[in-house]
Amino acid sequence: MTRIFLFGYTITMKTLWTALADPNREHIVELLRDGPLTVGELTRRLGIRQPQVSKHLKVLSEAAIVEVLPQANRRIYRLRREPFQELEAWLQSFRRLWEERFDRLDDYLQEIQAAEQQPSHRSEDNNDVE
Amino acid sequence: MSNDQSPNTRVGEQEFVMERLFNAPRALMFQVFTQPEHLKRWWAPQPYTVPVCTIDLRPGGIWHYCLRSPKGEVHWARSVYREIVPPEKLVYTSTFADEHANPTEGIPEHLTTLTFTEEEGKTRVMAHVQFASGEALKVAVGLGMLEGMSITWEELGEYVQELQAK
Repeated sequence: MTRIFLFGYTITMKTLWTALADPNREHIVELLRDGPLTVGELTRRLGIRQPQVSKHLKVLSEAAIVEVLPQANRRIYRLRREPFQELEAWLQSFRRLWEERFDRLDDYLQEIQAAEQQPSHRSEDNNDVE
Repeated sequence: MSNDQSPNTRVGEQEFVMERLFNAPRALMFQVFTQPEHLKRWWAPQPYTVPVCTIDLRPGGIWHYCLRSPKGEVHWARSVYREIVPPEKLVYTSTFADEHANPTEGIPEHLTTLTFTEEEGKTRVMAHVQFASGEALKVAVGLGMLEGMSITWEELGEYVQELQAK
């Protein structure tokens, strides 16, 4: 399961990261964390021009990070949970990976330390026989 | 969250610490983390193998390796060493890469700090993993907290398989 997480998430992660590699878009996500907002409200809080806000929202929509709720003649934007849940799962997978890694390391250390002692004993035994 | 309640695991906002006491001398512990012939034997998650692993053990040097699935699918990863204090400490940043060790864009890098402490002939290894910060991570952690209370690791696994089936 760990490996599915680690490698399977790269496409979602990539989309998410690329879309958020802009301070304004990151700020939009931060604002939407507390609840859905209209374009007008976002424009006011961001302090940038509305066409710019719309452009950023388009990128975020295409990356499936936000979705639009049409209400009368207003467009209300809200965050979609899914990409962030995937990201969270991806982070969790790293912890799991380290746990498993420590288990394997423990076994490996026993194996090599046992091997270190045994061959010398055997060669001594052989010498005795000869 | 999920099923990880062990006391030697701490989860921060965008980082976690994992530690364990190993029955091996510290010099050997440092070797198994820094020599390709050792890493090839234990680093890969089952059932993956590490067919290629190169290490340039110096600050700024690259640790480049490949994970291969039983079906022959390969994933390259690379780390860049930031600090090397044998046999006590190892600090590196990691991300996915291609076969020429060029990092994959769009994947957040993470920083790993490994410390090796002697304890009566044994060695305590502490792995501190920190992810590049960013709003996405903060949101992810926030949502994960809300959702994570009831969701088990198994459920999460099923969820991922559903996603992949799409």
